Amino acid sequence: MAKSDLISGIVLTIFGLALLAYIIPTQTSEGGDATISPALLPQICAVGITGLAVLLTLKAAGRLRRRLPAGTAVPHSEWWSALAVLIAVSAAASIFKWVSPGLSAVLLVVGLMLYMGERRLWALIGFPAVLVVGAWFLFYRVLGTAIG
Amino acid sequence: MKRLFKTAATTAAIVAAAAVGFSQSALAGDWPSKPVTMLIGYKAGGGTDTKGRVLAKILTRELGQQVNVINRPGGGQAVALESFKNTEPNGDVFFFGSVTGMTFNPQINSALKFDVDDYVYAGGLTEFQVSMVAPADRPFDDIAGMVKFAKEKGRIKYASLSPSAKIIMQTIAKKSGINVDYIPTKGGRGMIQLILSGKVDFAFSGGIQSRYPGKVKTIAATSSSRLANYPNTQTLIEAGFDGLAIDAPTVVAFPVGIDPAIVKKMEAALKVASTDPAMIKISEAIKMPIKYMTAEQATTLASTSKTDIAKTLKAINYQKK
Amino acid sequence: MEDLVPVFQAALAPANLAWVTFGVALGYLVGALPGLGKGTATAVAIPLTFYLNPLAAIAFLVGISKGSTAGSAVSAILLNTPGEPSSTPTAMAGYPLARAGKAQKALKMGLFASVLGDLFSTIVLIMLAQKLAEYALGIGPVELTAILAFSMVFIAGLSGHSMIKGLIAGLFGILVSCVGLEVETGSPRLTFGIIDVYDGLPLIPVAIGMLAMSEMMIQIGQRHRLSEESDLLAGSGKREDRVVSASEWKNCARPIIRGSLIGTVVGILPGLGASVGSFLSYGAERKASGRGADFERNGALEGVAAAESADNAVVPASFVPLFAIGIPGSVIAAILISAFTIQGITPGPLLFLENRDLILGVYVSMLAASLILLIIGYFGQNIFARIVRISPALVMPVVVFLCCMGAYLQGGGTFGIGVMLLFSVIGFFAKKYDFSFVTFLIGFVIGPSFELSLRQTLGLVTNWSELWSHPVAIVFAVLAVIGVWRLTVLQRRQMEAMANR
Repeated sequence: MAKSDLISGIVLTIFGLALLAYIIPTQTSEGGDATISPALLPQICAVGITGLAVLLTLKAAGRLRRRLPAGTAVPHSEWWSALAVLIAVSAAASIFKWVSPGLSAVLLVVGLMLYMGERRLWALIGFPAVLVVGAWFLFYRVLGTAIG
Repeated sequence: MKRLFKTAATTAAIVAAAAVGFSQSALAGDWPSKPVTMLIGYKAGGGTDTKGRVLAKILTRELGQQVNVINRPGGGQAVALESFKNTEPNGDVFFFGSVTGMTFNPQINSALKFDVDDYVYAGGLTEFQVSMVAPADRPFDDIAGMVKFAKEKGRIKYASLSPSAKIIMQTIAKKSGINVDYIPTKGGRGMIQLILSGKVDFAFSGGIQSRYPGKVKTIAATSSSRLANYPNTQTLIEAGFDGLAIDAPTVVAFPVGIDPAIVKKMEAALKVASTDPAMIKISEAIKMPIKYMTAEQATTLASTSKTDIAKTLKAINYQKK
Repeated sequence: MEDLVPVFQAALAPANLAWVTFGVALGYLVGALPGLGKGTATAVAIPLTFYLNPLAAIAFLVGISKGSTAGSAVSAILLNTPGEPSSTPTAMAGYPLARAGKAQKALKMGLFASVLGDLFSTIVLIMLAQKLAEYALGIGPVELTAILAFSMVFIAGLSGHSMIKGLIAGLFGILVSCVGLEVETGSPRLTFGIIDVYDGLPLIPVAIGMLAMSEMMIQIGQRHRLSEESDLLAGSGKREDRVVSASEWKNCARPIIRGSLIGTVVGILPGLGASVGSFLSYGAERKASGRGADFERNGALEGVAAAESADNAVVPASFVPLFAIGIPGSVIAAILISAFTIQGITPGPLLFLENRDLILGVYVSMLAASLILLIIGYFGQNIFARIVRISPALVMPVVVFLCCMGAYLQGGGTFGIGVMLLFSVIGFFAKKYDFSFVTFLIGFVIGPSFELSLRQTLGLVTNWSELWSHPVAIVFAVLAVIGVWRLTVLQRRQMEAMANR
């Protein structure tokens, strides 16, 4: 845990400083005629985050120096699966707009199923079909709303 | 022989029908020839959405094609209007909502890239009953009385549920020389809570006070002419505030470049809808009366509203965000 | 008394009960499916109610909200994926139980707690609606600010191992909640020019991303381990792992009672919501039991009981201000307003005068719904438990699909999907680096209400002496300060203990 804490502490400190120095000043307006400035609450949060992140970094560094147990790392398979889901959904979302909603839903589900190791043909065809038909029925027939 | 004749006759019939069908769709003004989408800039379940869905059903009947509702909420109809501005002007999509989305919001928010002139108005259907209200126990019944009350008390507490609410009060305050504490609220519900509990003296309302007869009184109408629900309540213009009005009728709009024949057809369908029993029923239920406007009336209202609002904003030195 | 007979007849008529049952079943199904929640279900069901008579329409919608709040426990326990944000504590305490083979036990307790909380709150609603509503009006911005501050501090104390990381997460949540048009000036904050976020980041895609999608990412990564575990999820086969024993019932009685009370109170106060209710109840139980972080390590039946009774109790209670003053106490209540108006009914003080029979009919239907919930939940759980056992490779992609659908519907189209993806990545990192996504969500949910009521307080209160006329606010403010002090003291003790080891 100490090692990951160190990384997250450093990253958060940098992010907190970026918030205070650049993001908040450019993205919020000061003052105006409000009781509290619109920028006040974001600034308080950013100050808090930065300060606590520094504390976190120091604590983690201290623990590492004293050779205390460092905790477990993230298994590789989980990084890959996170990426896989991300890609699958993004791809599906882009197909959704340009091609057709039905196709994107099918590709999403089938893609993930294959990724997870599903090889049975009846499942690969049947499940997406049921889902897409069900969704179509729900929206176009029952609710009268269009998609896309 | 008989069979040959039968086949020939059927073929001829089919060809004839196809020919008629083709020529029909080739005529301009034969809109709609496929399902149409109604775009609403608010969440499902709100007042505009409820009305819109009833309208969609009526239009489905009148226009002969399925009208599907899509909700695209966000930013006071800004999200919907922004994407709507650039859609193909072929009649596949039309917008239904409060005209303030085009007349008011672009003038206070510089990030909005659309304006009144980006749309063609097919007509108006209903009118939001926007007004200024006060708790029933306050000792004034009109704007003049409110000003007197504010001067005696020193300060007056005002619940502001949107930028337009605040701007209207700022204009009144500046002209009358009174001090106002602006209490922000999130929408009409937050506002009505503060009014009912007596924590504020005055507020802007989109019509919610009709649910609490006897507890809330309507002080002034913020529209340019008297409201149907409150015929005895003077408008702000009548109270002496020249040009201070925000009209909020609900309109149907198309993107610029639409075929005028389509607009005419929609205008006629709206007229039918305005007298339809289902529409009358829902109007009474949500207390938003029907006020039919032709395409021309809607267009005129939109542009005069925009000019009036621009003047008001100038008078209080409003800084565009 | 005789005039009540037609009310009962109408409410208990087979046709009406059929609609109630349909609503509860639909709600339970939607709640159990990660990615879809009662918000989606009710908003989408409203057009359907156009065709129904008023009693059936309202009873149907209320049934949906009851069913889905209870159903969200199912995916929370079985998949560590809360069906709704308010079931997050249920996942925290219930999933470890499922992994230990005690899924059925946890599910049963979740259901019983839900039904009991719901029943309690419905009875409170029926008996006290009008009286309580006037009190609810007395809760103004000053009181709300203090209550919210207290809630935030209390829930921050749940952040587990590291107070520092918990606070960072909470502050992050509040920061993210600032995105959008600032309420007083109407000026855009942190929007980066994106109009879609003018009303703030939509809650459902954020919640789905952080809670459900991130969990799916992790579980898909563990897919090889999962096939072994899915047998465990089915249950260890021992009867004692499937049923709730008498002694467990005794242990859970107090959390259920406390949870029902907390949920009811939270529901009546407008602006808090079911998530706050379930977290407060969970936190209280965790503290009272003295086991602390063990709740999440080995699972805790009492935790499940506390969370589920509270979040279900919030729903009927949130109708109190709705029926009596016409002010919705929750998102569900707000959606119900439109259902009422479609039927031509005005919720508010006139409701009991003009539509007395209807409201009484609704009450009876609500009680019936609580009982129907028990039956449907019982069978629904078995079905779902079986489904989850089928194969992770089938379940996970379907869940991802449903999440996308939910984000699409409630987040404004593909924009919602984008938001969901962003927060699934953030949630993934939060889970892996042990940052409390719980405090993040609470910060995100409460942040806007807190800021708004703070501004209102500053606007309404012109001098300090006025504050003394708000005793409720003072009590909560003091409690909040005590909470902060105790938490920092406890944290320092924890650090000393670790340093000494």
